[in-house]
Amino acid sequence: MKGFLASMYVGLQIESNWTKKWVWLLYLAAYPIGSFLAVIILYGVFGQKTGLLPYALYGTIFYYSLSMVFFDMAFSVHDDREHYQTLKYIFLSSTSYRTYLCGRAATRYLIALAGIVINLCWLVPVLHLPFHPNWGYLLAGAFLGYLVAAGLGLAMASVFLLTIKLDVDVVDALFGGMFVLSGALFPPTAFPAVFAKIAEFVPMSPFIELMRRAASGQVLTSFLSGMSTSQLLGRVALSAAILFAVGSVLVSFGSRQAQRKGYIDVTTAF
Amino acid sequence: MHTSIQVENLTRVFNRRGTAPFHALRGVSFDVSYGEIFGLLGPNGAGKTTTIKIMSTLLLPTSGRVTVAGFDVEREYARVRPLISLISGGETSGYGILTVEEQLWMFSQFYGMETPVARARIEEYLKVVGMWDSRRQQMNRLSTGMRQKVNLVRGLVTDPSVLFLDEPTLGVDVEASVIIRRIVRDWVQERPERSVILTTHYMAEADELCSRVAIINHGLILANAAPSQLKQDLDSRAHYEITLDRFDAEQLDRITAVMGEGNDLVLGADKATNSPMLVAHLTHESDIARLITALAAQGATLEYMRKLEPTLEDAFLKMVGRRFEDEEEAASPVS
Repeated sequence: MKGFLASMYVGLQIESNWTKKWVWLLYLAAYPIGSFLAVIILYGVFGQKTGLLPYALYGTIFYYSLSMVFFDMAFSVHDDREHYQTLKYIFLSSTSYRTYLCGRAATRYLIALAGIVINLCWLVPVLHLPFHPNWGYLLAGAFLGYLVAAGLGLAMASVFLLTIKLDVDVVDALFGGMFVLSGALFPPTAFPAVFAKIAEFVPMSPFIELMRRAASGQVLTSFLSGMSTSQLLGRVALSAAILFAVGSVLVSFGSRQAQRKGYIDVTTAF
Repeated sequence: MHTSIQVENLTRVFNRRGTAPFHALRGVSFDVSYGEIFGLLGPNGAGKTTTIKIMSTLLLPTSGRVTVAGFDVEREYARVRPLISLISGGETSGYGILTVEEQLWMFSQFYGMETPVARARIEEYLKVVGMWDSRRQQMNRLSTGMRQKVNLVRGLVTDPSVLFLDEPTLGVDVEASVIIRRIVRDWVQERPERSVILTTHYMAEADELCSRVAIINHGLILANAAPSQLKQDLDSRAHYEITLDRFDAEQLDRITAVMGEGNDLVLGADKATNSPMLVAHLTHESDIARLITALAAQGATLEYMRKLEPTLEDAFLKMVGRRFEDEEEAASPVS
């Protein structure tokens, strides 16, 4: 637990220690705007008639909370190894690398949630978003969302442990692909049937839909509409458990392979 | 003393695409006892760092076995890690945005230490290295020497049984090097259940600190003994450098005759004063008394005299047949 809290602390310092606290708070509020400004323009200005603004905006916001975490976890492998050169010392400590990554993920997730809360404070009244929160589902969903994000992050970290060069293009492609397939931006029911079916099984889809419903108090499209909110919660819990377990196994495997290949303390010109 | 580390027939091969496999270690064996500072001495690319990485669980061996405190580093690494610390020189590790104190506290938490205990140790060691006043400075504002001192404190705060020092004074100034060496020596002497494995390519550092040294080159251990033993094995004769007020070739011949066979005398000049300088290689140390008496009998006044001690560099030269620097030039980038 001490290791987990210490890594949360490192994460917080890395995120916030580059400037004064009030500037960081401003940044915290402003940073997510970039990710959903395009959605506001797309559905709030040009696609007003579709009525998809609440769906897309909530989707994008909650996708953002996950993506920030798992990409941050992946990049932290390279940052710790190449930039801070601390990865080997973390590996050699009594805290497992998985625990360390989960601590970093927790900080990133809380920061992302804080950014979301701050922005919802003005988005809801200004854009007249439906907002009838079910706090129980929201809290449960937020907790499970952390496990989903951490599970994906651990899986991604295991890949990055075994790559010496940071390939940003792959990360971007993954980010874009999952953004579309998870139904964050528009309902996958608009896809051909095969892709719509695939979208249902994208690990983030049920989480995003759960959070949409929990925040808006409505079923906004037909995507996953056949499931009740409690069923969705069960589905998110199941996918969170599976993803976290798979992520844990993969990061253990990745660590062992990195130990075998000598990648734990490798530094390049990157 | 009992065994802290046992290394048996260790090999490590690095396979790289498009190049022949690189054999970094080719059957390295040695052991380290508690209470000992054991040195791995060799040029860059000799295999020192690879050995220390395997011992500290950062790297898996290709074959062979290493135990630390009785635990196998390959299979029982989770039990080894809480007992060890690694400090590498020549790097700028650390979260630059954290203060010295925060950085050290954070690592203590990774070892599950209670915060009051950790804070007390951090204070103690920061004072020892003379950095208590810099505790609130951000890591990225520290000089290389200061960062290396913090690195050392990080390694000591968790009170490990085995401390791995990989070139700990690389790139730091003389003053910081002296402090680091003193702390390492004191740390081991404080408690007999501790041991240090030091890799260095500074011969003098190994000579000063280590109770035993293994000379490693091209992944092979060439010798493993106390530094004094390694030097003694080089040459049993005693060597002296004697500066005189006046001395000539004729006098040299006479004294050579007096000293007898096995004692070699070479006449030269002191580079600084240009006075005559006699280099004497004597079979027995006690022959120096006869030499001084003979010089006095020739009317030469002794201005300065010093005993020439063989160095580990000489030992390396004898074993490898090349100078240390020459080996480094030819070394592979993987060490």
